Amino acid sequence: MIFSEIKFFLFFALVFGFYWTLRTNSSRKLYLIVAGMVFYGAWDWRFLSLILYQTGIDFVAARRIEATNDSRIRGRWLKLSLVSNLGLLAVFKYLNFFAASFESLARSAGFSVSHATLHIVLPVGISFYTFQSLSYTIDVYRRRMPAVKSVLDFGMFVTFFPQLVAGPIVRAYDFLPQLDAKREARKIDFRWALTLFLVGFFKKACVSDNISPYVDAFYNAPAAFDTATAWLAASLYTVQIYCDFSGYTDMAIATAALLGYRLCPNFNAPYLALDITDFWRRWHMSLSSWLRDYLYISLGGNRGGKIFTYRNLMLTMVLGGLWHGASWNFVLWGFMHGLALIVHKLWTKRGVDLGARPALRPVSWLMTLGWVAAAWVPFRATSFGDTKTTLALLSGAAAEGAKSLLGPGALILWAVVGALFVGHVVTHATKLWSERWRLVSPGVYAFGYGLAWAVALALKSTDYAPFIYFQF
Amino acid sequence: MAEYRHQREVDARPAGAGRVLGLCASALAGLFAGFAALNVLVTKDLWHPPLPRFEEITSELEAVKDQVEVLFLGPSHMMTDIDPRVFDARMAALGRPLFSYNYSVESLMVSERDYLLERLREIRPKGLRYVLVKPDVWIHTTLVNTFSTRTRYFNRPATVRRYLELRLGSTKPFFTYNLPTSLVIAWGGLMHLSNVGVISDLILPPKSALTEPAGERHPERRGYLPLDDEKPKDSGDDSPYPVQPPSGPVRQLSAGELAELARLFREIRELGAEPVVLIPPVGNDNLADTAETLAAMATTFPEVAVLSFHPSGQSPELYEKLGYWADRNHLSPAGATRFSTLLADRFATLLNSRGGAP
Repeated sequence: MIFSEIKFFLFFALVFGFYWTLRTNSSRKLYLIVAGMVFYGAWDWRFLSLILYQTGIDFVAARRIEATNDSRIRGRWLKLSLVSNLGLLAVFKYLNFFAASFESLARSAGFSVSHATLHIVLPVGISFYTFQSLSYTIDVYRRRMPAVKSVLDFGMFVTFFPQLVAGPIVRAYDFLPQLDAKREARKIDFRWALTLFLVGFFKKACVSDNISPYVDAFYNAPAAFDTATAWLAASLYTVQIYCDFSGYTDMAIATAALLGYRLCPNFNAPYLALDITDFWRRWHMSLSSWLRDYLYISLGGNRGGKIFTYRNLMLTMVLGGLWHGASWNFVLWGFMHGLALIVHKLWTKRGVDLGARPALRPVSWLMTLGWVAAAWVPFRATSFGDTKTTLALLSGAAAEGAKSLLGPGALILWAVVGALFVGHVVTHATKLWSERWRLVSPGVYAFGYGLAWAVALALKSTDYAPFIYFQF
Repeated sequence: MAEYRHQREVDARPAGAGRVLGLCASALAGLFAGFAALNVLVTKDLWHPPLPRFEEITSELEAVKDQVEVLFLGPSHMMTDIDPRVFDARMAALGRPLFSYNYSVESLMVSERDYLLERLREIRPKGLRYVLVKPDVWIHTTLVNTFSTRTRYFNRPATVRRYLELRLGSTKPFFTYNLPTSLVIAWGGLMHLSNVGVISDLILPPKSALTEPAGERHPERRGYLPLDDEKPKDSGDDSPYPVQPPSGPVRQLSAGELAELARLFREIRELGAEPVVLIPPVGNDNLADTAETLAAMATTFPEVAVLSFHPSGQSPELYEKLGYWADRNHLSPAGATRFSTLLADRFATLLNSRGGAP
């Protein structure tokens, strides 16, 4: 069940309609937990047990951490939570990867090792809800927030369906206080939420899903294509992943808003960033801040001198890459970003800050976008070999294949994407989405909203593609 | 700061039911105004079929239209199971040389078959004598896959209701259906009106064209598409024979379905050809005709010959060798070769019994 398909519309209509008829806060929370279970169970009900297990462990661990001042006992309960959460992640997401990598390493060293690959199904959203639940016990351990007393509240925090499978990674101290009082429909900015949902739908179903066949066709066999197609695919994927993920996030935030809850923002026009540090303040903000707060700072942050800072930065980005998936391609993606962040820090320290000089801002923007787009190549490619081939094609260092995807369709698509980018810049600068349309009367808005849906439906791809970030 | 002003609470007056209903009505009016505008601006003639195969086999057929005498028309298990070259060679060996063409498309819906017949009327193959057709009026669930432009492209407004009623196995007027059935029809009509994906399909090439670039087709195969050339079919079950029995009760052909068959046979005759019902071998009984269906058809249309390779028919050989099957519903290339030969034998016998020449 994905946000852009009819099944979700029907599911949400039922959830929404019944939710606001419930009188008490507890019954609403219980109802949303059940809805979350149904939503998640629609993929694979067997993995509901994982969520319940994690919820139970972290709820108890946080209560025990809070109940004592003995640092050893507190530490033990935290370790239990860490081992339990990360253990599940290790088994379900990384076991085969590390076993295969070990085998390959041993072979290259001349040892004959073989392992039986287990066919482990990756539970959808496991990286998201694991990080979310884990951050709660760490925050309680750090005394940043008290442990939650109601298992109902904690259950809803973990299973809240708008953000359950692909974030944003909500912090407990931000979300749990919202559960204290019953939400009131009259306080919801419906116009804002409905518009945001439509914008998210458009990004996902009309842009990302229409781009997807081109990107997929290229990355199925990159060596078969020419250089121009490699450039087309690399640039389209840059647009696709943004529209796919931020579209999902928009719909998640809007869905939560329609139920009266607030989720943290996740994107802030990342492709308008003037440097790579700026990019990471704008891209997948809930993950980058999670990595900063719970990994970078835990590693020592910038407290140990330059070399340690750079080491911590690189480790954080590489592990952040690995968080996305069990593949050396994601490690390379993280490494490329870590390297760029280190270089940017070095430049800035030496007074070279292109983004600070108006005349050089376009150069800085292009360099940043170019590096980000290049880093998406290992992120999308299905193997290390395909990454090498694609990067070689892009740089003109490889012999071209005979196939090409360039044609009228691709050109139209590019023109549309270009126009949308301009629109994106304009709306971002003028705050069109946020304020201008509020001036019209509710009746006119409702009519325009229906009209906009008719156009969006006509523009949407007829193929449903799962959200890219669901696989993480 | 986010890309948009982030969420904030408002302090609105509670809206009454009348106001909420009014706003919903206004939004619906906007939605339908949008649908209507798109229906005016984007006419069906501008659309292209999302499956390139429709165009490929039609253009290939056009190139050999003066030679074609026998045409195979049906869904995927006709497309993958009949090799016209093998069929023709066998017919020649049996003393009845002819030229055949496989004009079948995967998951062919009734509406799409109508489209192919329409194209056939335009091409007018002068020598066409027989159309071996798998009618499939009674099985196609895809007919109400209303989110597919592939469905709606072929569903002209005048016929969409007929297709939906056919799918639902009745000819009752809309309001005399039970509620769920009425909702399905209404939903189909709404989706037909809404033009989901029409602009996307209009400006972008078919998705499959990106992964199957032109120039790799094999016109000499005359429409036959062996399964080793494609990814395995997603039939939901890869194990071949034994045949699975029908999962539901056996349905009698409804009056609407019989009328649909009559229309199909009439349209084939209008092309100057004789219809022959062909039931290719399938491992899933739900996709084949049942004995009851064939009996009903034989009673109503005694003049239409039926060549059935259903397991209850006369071709056990095809079902006894696993190597003949690619999956439960499609033959392997070896199976297709054998079936094309057996089909030629049965077809030659039919011609001999009638004493005519193709």
